[in-house]
Amino acid sequence: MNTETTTTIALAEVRNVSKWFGPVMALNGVSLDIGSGITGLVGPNGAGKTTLLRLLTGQIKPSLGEIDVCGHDAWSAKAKDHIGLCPFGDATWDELSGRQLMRVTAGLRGFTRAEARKRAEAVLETVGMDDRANRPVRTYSKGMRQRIKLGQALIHDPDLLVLDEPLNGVDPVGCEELNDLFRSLAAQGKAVLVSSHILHEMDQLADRILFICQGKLLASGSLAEIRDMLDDHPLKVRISCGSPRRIAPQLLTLESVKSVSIEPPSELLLEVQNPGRFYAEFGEFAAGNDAQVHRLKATDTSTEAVFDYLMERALHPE
Amino acid sequence: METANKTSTVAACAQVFRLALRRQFFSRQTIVTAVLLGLTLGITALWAYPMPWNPDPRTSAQLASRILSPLYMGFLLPIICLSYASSAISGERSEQTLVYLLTTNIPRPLVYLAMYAAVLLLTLAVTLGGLAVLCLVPGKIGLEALGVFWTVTTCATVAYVGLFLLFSAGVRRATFLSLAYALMIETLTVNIPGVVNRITVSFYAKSWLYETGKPLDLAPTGAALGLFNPVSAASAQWVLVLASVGFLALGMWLFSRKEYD
Amino acid sequence: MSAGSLDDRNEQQRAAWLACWPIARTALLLVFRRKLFWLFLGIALLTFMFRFGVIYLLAELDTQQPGIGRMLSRLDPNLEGSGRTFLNFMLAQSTVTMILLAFAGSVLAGNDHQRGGLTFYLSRRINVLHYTGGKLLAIGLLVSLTTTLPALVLFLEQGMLGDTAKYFTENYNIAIGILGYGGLIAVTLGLLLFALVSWMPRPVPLVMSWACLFVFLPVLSGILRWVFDDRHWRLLNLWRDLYAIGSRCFGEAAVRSSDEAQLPEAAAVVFSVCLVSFIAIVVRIRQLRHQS
Repeated sequence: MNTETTTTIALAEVRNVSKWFGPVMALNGVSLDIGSGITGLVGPNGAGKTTLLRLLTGQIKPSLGEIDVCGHDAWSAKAKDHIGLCPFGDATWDELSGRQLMRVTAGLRGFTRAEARKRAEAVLETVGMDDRANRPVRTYSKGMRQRIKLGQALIHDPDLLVLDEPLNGVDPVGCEELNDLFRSLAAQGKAVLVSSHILHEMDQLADRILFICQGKLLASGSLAEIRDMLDDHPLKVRISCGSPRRIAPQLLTLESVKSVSIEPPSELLLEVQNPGRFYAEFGEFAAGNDAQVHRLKATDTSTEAVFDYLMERALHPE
Repeated sequence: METANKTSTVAACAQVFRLALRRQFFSRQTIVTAVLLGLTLGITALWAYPMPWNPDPRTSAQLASRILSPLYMGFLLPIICLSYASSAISGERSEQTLVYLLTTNIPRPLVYLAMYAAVLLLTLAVTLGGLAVLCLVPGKIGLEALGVFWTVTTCATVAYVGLFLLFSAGVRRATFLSLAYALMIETLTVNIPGVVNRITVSFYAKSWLYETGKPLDLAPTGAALGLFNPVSAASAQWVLVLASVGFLALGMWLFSRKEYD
Repeated sequence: MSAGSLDDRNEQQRAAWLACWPIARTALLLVFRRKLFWLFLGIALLTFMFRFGVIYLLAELDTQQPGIGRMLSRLDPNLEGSGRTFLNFMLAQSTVTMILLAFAGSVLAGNDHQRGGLTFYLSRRINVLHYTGGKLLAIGLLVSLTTTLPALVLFLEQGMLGDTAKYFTENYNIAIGILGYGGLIAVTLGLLLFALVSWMPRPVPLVMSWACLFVFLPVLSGILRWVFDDRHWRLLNLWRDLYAIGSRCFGEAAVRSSDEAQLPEAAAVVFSVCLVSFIAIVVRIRQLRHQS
């Protein structure tokens, strides 16, 4: 299922891209657009996430297809003007201090010395490392390394920020701070592509998710959009209401409801077929039957549940 | 898009140059190189001092044939070039920091060129500096040898750096390949009759030395005697210059196309 | 202490020493996976192939043109099939063995020290000695692959192409010499390499130090001998020391007079190198274990 949501102008366009490493097909005919906002790239190990990120950042070339970043071929130097990469792993030039690393990275982007200093200070403050910037990077903790790596990706104010597992090793408070930073960057109109294998991170963070598995793009769009598309998979909805025993048989008359079970004292667990239609039908039902609904919550719209559905579909298409 | 107007590729290349120079200079290979040069210097100083069993005054020919030719040109020069050049790119690659250079907006051939310039500058400083100190330790006699050796050292350094950096761009474990070249291919081919030995840098460096170093009695010795058929100094110079340019061009081409993991 | 617990302890010790083989096998597999290793091995076997062909050619000439065969054998004593033939063949393998070992050292043990593989090994029921034993076994087998094994094949070829029974009965000391010299090289180089890798796991410093030991020192020893006019400086050349001791393994006839005089000193140098290397290995591994 390849859905392309292009609500915003695409900063990166991937067109029918395949990539082989010898006999191994890492990506298979992937097409997608990445626009402003936060895009989550989700997939199991070996799905092709890193290959896609490396293609987007011009580290490798596609075997077939094209990748454009801001109108330039991703392999070209011009495209890299618009890309900031925070790679996976801890590797940096460890012998430098955080401040030196920022200045060197700014220098590598071609800024003058004065401009490089100015940008280094600004970025250190942005990533919350200004008070520890004089220490050598080799003395940093994993979380601090993630921040300094993020800083070097931001130094030239890129339009497309590619982050490979940026929250890996960061403490919960730090995660929240970094997530706020990603959101503020997205609010500035930048495209932030975040790869992660921790699926629930994406629930709150990403505006749009790309599900990738076995080198194929399984689905893309917002979580709700993707969940809506999965009409053949039942959605579990928990309803807390005043008289569950009374309304349970009535709910079964709705076309979208497959099964209802009562969970005493006041809850119902529904299995529904088509979430969109169910919400419409249930609205009418609740208004007309004095259902006294206190709370309604879909229990498996999380990224993880959607991902499980998609994986199951990919592995067993029939 | 705003960034593109404020930046300069030359400034970016200069940063690659400074970074490569700094990383190579502050490395363990500098310590080992210093120890090696120090030992050689010590030996030269010992030799220069007249001993009871050898009170004859030292000559520049002895310095050239006993120390500079076997020890400096035969071992130190390729090893120093190898240590800096072969680790420049493959070192960044094995430390997983090459990605930061590959994702900058500098065209890849220029990244390679900047690294080449940094490694060459450092290697030339070490090789020529080392040669100058070695020649100056014995006093006046060293000056004559220095006059013969410095040009050959310069050209050989440029060629070796080009070759070993090319290995570094192509192979992850370039150090071992460079070592195999410096200690095996160069040594083995010397003893092979015919034109096979013409594939090595040392053949041309030696050919050049044997012609310009006639006043120093420099000539093939040992197993190479009779098998070594040198080319003229002019030909050797041309080959070394062309090979250096060729290695550099090939390295830039390879680096600009290769997908590094 | 009961007899049962003593038996258990002995059994555990035996199992720990048996673990040397899996350690060596894993290390060798790591080396065999590298293409560069096969390139070096190919180069290492060039000399072997050449000697193999020459021995065959000479055997053919001996039967078809005995005069020419004998003349060629006399021209190059390295081809006559005596102890010196195999001794010199193994010496000729020294450069490529040295390069192969520098490469293998980095893969076999350098990665363990650099990337924390040591913790993996030492978290098992083995101690530093078992780990060291496994790695040394791997290095020794690699050395044998380029020296002892090809020399034994050449020895077999030499015997089988001539009067088989007579050659083998008259020259059984050559086989002992090959094994002895091969063993000496394997143990000495294994200990030295492992000690160096333990303290210098990064490839470039390792390669430079290794090349210093086997290229720089021999050149230096020649210069020092000339400067001081003292033959003892030749002892700095470890290859020469190993050769001097190794030649003794082939019988008295194979020992050169210059080596004969320096045999005890050469033995002392080789023993000291082995001892210092062993101490360096144990100290370093204990240090690394405490750090991890």
